[in-house]
Amino acid sequence: MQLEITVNGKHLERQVDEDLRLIDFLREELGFTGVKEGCGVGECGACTVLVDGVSVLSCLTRVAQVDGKEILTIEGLSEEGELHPVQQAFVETGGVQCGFCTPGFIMVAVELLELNPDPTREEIREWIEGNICRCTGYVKIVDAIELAARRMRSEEEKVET
Amino acid sequence: MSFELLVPKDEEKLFSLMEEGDYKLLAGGTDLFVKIKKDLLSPDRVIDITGAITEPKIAEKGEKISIPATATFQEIAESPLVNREFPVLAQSARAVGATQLRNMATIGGNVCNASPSADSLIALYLLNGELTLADREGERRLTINDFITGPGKTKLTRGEYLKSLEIPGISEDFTHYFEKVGRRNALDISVCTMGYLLKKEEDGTVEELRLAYGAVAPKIIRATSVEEYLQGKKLNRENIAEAKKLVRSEISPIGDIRGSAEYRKKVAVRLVEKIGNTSNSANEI
Repeated sequence: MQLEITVNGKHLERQVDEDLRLIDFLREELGFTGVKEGCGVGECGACTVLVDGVSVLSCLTRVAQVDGKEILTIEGLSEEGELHPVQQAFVETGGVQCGFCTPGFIMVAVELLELNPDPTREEIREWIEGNICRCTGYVKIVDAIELAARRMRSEEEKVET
Repeated sequence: MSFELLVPKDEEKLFSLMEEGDYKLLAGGTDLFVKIKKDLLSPDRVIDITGAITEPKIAEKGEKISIPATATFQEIAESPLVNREFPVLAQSARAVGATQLRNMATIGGNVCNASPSADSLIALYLLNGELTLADREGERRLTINDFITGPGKTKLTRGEYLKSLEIPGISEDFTHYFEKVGRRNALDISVCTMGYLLKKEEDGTVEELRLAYGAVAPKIIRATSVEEYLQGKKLNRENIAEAKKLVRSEISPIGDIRGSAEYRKKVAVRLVEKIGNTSNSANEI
C-alpha cells in the first residue's frame, strides 16, 4: 500500500506492506530505534508512541491502521537540541537505569501532562500502570514526572505573565 | 505470519470484502494481533471495521445511549454521558488493561471475543445492553445475553458485523458497583469479576437487585436466584449468608493459571458481602 504518514513532524510517503507492524516501520524503515520492543504482545509498554497525541502500543498496531495520522516517538520530543522537560526530569531524578523502558514511560508521561498538567502521585502511578520497568525504578520515575509537571506549569505561567 | 490487512472506507466496501473469502474482523487489535503473534490464529485476511462506522460518537438516542462498536475503553471511561448514566460501565472500562490498551481496545472487540472474564461485559449484562448487528440485508437487534453463546462463541454470522451497542436508561436511584479481583491491578485478566445494581426502599429493603459475575462460568452470568431471593428483603447478616449459598450453586468456575476453581468459588461467594455493606464501601461508585 501507499502509506502517507507524519512522523516526528515530517510528512512521508512510503510503499509498504499493509500488515507491517508500526514498530517495525519506525525502527527498520525509518531508524527510530528509540521505540523498543519488550514483550511484543502488549504487556510491557516499551513500544509506546503517540498517534495523534494518544498513546498506543506500536507492536500491536499495523501501518494500515495509522494511514494519514501523526506519529510522535521519543526522537521527536526534543526541540533544537534541547530536551523535553519530561526527558530532562528523568535524567535529573535518576528515573533511568538500564534505559530500555524509558522511551515508553516518557511518551505516556508526555500524554498525561498534556491531559492533566497537575496530576497527583497516585494519578501518575495509575497512568503509567501499563509500563513495566525491571530495574525497579518506579519511585524515581514518578518523581521525574512530578518534577516535569511542576516545571511545565511554571513555564506556562511565565508565558502567560 | 503474513496476512492481508484490509481497511474498507465504508460499510458497503466492508460487506463486499466479507463476501470475498475467509476473514477475521479487526476492531482495535489488542487481542487479535496477540493471538496472531502467538500463532493461535493465522488468518489470511483481516478486515478493519473502523471505516464502516458512520456514527463514531457515544450519543443519547431517545431513552437509550448508543455506543459505537469502535468506541475505545478510554473514550467510554471518560465519557460524561456514560459516567452520569452508567457509572458501572465507566468503572468496568477503567478496569481494562492499562492506559495504552484502553486507548486501542474497543467495546465491540470485547463483546465479540466473548471472553468469560471480559471486564466490560459485566456492566452490559447488568444494564441489559442490546447489540445492533448489520449485514447487507439490514440490521438486527440482540441482547448481550442472547448474542454470547459460550466462551469465545457468539451468534455473529458470516457477512455480519457488530455496529453499535444500545444501553437502555436506568433510574438514578440505583447504586452501581463493580469489582475486579486479579493478581495485580494493571494488565491482568480477572480471577473473578462482580458487579451489581441495587435499588433500596427508604427502610433499606431491596426493591431491585441485579447481580452479575464474570470468570466463574463459561459466560458472564446473572445470579438470578440471588436477585430473586433478596428482593423485598433486608440486607442483614442472615439474608446475605443465604445469598452466599445460592451463589455457590450459580457458578461453575474452572481452575487455570490464574486461580484454582475452589479459590474462584471462595472469592465469588465472599464478594456477596459487598452487597450488604454498600453504605461505607470504598468501591461504591
